[in-house]
Amino acid sequence: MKKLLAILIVLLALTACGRPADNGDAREVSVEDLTIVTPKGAPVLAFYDQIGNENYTRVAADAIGALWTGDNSPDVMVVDLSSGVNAIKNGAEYKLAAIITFGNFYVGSTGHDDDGVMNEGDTVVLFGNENMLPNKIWHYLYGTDFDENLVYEADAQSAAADLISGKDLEGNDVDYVFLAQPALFVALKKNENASLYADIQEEYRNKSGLDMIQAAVFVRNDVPEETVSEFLSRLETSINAAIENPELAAEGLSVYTDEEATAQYGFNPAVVVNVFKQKNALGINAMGLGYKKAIDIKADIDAFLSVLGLPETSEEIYVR
Amino acid sequence: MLGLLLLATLWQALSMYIGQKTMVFPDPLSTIKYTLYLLGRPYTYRCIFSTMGKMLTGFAISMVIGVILGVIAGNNGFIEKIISPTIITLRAIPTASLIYVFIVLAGFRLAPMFLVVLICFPIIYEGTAGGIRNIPDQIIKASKVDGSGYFMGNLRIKLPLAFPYILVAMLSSFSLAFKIEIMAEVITGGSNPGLGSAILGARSSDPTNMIPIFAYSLIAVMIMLMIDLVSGLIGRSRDLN
Repeated sequence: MKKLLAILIVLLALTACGRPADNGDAREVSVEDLTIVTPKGAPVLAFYDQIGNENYTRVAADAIGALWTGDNSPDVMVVDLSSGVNAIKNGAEYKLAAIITFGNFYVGSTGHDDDGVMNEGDTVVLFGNENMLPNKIWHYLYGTDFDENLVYEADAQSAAADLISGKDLEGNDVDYVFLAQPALFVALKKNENASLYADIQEEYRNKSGLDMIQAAVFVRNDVPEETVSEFLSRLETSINAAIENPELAAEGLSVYTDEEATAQYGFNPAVVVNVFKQKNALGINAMGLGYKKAIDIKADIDAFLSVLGLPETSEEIYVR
Repeated sequence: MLGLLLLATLWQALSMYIGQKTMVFPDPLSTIKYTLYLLGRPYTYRCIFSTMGKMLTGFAISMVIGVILGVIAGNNGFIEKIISPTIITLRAIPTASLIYVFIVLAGFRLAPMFLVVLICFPIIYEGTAGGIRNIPDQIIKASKVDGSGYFMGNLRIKLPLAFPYILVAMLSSFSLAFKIEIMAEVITGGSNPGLGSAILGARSSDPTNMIPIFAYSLIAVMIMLMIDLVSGLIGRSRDLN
């Protein structure tokens, strides 16, 4: 019995040693020292002025979810809204701070469809799987009419390949492809028969009356309020400056060039800046870059999450 | 030479067949051209050295752990039985799922290296333990008569005798380590240079242009061929001695 008690005491002591710091206690960290992680791809554009910052890491989108817990959790993380909200629900010690991309989804036509109108019977390619954002947005906008001829490609890159070749990876003809920028831009350049068919942001606005929401900024609970506020203020200023003058983004992204740039950012900077300069059907930049404090658009966020089948968010998860 | 010609013909035929269907399978000539372009870029060498550096560090760690534990288990059947379930489990766990565990534990930069350790260590452990176990009893008895202790007996007699087994394990796990490192870099896609990160970047920036991906892969194949050649030469010189 004594031995058992001793083992229990040792185990309890070890558990106490391994316990992370109380997340209610803010630690001292300045804006310059904040560790930031974003997925490669569109969100990197928002951090164009941080490329040289050694605390800023860009990683594969699929792997970023592993960072919500553990000692390597960054102070600031950019992920898609629903993943972040789910992570917080599952115990991640983060708060939702801001939304920085408002949708860069489009439907491209391969030029195969004779009547040129997307209707039942046409083959449509989506990327990701049935639980991912493109599929949920698609079904919210277009219902189940196309389900019999929906083709799922693993990622946006494979879907872009379908728009270029007009065939899916099994060699079957496709009519329409649901894609994100800048993959759409690359695909349209390579297939002269392909064209832009629909702007999903516009379709979403027409149906819901709200803005589409994509990438969100999450901040660790133990980052002091003043630091969070200063960081968000700087982020807002830099994003707005780039929207005003896209050359600023081009300059910021020029830290890396050629193959190194594509490996660092997950896109060709010249292509992304080109797309960034274009306007979508709603008159905002085609990359969907923007800045809104999350708490200010809680209603939009909740409406968007309901499209994805997620419950309303609690005010507690927001940065004030 | 005939083998290479056959490989090139097969590759060309595949690119003509698959390429016509989906426009994503490059032909050998375009790939070789782009490989030569990449070999002229400093960034490519930074990727090669970074990948090789992490892979070699991981491999060295697995060598140290694998050989030490292999010697202990090779000498003691009880310990071997205790370690055995862990080794079997490590060999069976899908590599891709472990990478996410290592991202949490070690971060994006070091996760691929730890994956290499975990994949190579069981192979080297088994090679070492097997080599020690297969040393004839007479030699072990003779070394005890000579007064060799546990440490010196293992270091001077058993390890050299088990070396051919360890060498086979090393060679088979080395090429695996290289492939695992690149695959892990593709999955994690960290900001550091690496052949895997370069492949991921090339795929993201232009999904339909598979030439850069094939070119980086060709560079990896060339490195492995060179390593194979060097290890073959080492093996041959050892046989001659």
